[in-house]
Amino acid sequence: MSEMVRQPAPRATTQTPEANDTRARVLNILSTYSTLWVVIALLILFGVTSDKFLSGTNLINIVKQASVVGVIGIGMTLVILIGGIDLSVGSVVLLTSGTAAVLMASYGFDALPAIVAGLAIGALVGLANGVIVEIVGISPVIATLGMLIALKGLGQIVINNTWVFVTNSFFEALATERFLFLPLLAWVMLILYAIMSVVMQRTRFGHYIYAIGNNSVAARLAGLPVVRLKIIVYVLCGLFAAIAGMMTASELGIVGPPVGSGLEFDAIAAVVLGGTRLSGGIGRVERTLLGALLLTMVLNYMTLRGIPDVWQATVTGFIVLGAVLLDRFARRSAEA
Amino acid sequence: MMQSTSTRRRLGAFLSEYGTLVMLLLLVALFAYLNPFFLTFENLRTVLEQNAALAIVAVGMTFAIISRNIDLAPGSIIALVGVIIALVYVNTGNIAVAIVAGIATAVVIDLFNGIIIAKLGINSLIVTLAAWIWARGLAISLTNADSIVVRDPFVDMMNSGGILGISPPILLIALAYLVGWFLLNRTKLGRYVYAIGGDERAAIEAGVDTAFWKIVMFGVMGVFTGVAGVVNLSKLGTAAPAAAYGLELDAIVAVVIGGNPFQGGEGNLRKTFFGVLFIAVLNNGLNNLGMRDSYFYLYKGIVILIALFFEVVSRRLLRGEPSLDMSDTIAS
Repeated sequence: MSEMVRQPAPRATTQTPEANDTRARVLNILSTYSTLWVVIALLILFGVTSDKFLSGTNLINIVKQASVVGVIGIGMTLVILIGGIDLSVGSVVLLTSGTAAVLMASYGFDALPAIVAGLAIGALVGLANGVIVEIVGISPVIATLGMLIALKGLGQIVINNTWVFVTNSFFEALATERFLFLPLLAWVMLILYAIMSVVMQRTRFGHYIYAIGNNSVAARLAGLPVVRLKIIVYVLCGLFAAIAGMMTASELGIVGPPVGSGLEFDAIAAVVLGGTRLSGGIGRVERTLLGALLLTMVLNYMTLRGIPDVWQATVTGFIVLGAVLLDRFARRSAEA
Repeated sequence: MMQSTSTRRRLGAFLSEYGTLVMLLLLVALFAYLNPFFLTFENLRTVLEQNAALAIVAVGMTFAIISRNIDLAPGSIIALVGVIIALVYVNTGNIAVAIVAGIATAVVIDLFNGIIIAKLGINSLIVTLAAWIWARGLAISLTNADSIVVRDPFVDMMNSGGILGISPPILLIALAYLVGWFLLNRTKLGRYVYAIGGDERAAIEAGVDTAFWKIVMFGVMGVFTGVAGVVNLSKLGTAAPAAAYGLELDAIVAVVIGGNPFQGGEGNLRKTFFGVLFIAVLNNGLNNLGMRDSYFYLYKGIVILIALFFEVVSRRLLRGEPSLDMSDTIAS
């Protein structure tokens, strides 16, 4: 009896490593690319259940709609990778798009100086965030929360609490002109993603960011200028938010008080949907693009299916929750 | 040298205990100077009544922050609680049943969040962010983005004199802080909330079922949020899906400005209450000056950042550290 019980045991142990190995590898692939699989699965599901969804115009539309959140998401990914967070990006979008719009509409600025001014403001806000968080030492959640409130006010003051039209031809062209099927706005986003994914994977700067995110103390002991690098990351985050501000001005053609509100949470959702860990150190910039596309796809599909707008937030919230749970389970099985 | 260090520490100790109170008094003095009606008894009572929901939510937020968690959902849940109360009331005509259903909704949502956070080890920021989105979404979808009026004697009662001229919202604030203080200082839950925030691994090694206690804590937070939802609904007698937008952010800022470290492990409700008064006075004072929303946000954000700055610097002085850490920047 006891022999019979014991016998299968060694066989099992000789077999399981291989089986486990394959299983682990499959699970690893699943968990590493989980966002991509979800995007593909949804593309198929939505394509089958709606005849308009997979049309070229609609897919192009999705990429265009995702571009503002996508670009903010680049900076947000970097900040989250170093273990921080930036809640002020939505207000930066309002402040920078408002400034550019007012400079062009009321002061006769050309597109280029208006954009330069907008981007400079974004970078300055990022610098302020970085200094407040890394040198003064206020926790990033509440420091950037204070900035969110203050800059929302400042942005509304700049546009004098009204709607300002963006009539500049360059801004109009950015939203309407196309190159290889895609609107220029979408190209701006894609090019920024291409640049930043190369920077993060192939340059010393990128490696430093991961090193800091994994272990800030070790990075400091290894001689990295940790504080300076972290401040640079906040500057970049402000800069990307400002670029998104220019894109918003171009896409909407008008800037008003509610612009940018809540974008910070959309961007964080995109980053998390892309599988970047909020604890820092783990994640990829380009996956945030998938996260942004995923969010946009679902909202687009709901509109196509005539689901009332009032359900959008409910569904978005559960998608974020679902994605986090999925990521967690995939990782658990891969680790097991 | 020694003497100056100890003076600095004493200054730091004083500031970290009473810094918020000093800032609060300065703020009150400023508003009293700008607006002669500010310092009337009537107005100061209004300050508290108008911010009753914030004050009550801040109790739960203190638990969250001491335990090194955060809760972004209360504002959205308060809106949903209002909607649930209104819908149940419209359908049953029974305000008591409606209120129980509303508070139960908040508790169930927070338990749900707590289970995900504790059992799966997912960051509370992202779990409660998801609830921030979907709970607000449910409030919007269930009402079709419309407001629902609740006409019941209960609403009049909540806005009346109450006991000894103290209005029910203020009594509820007092009750919330008493219950919160008791739970934090006299129960196992409170001890473990501090333990989890201080060093969770050590607590687990000491045999504490931290996951269970985290879930209990979120359940308790749900009760506070639910009661805040009732208070918020009865303020206007209307359930609006946009109600209490951003209230969670005010609550977080209040807890931290009061002097409870965002890193958790320590803190108390007295500090939170000073922080709440600070935010309440700021909201009311700026509103009474009759400025536009844009200036309100600008000044509020700036005052919050200044208050946070002083809070951090006073804690540094207390620990005898330089008031700003530039070493890394200069060395590199």
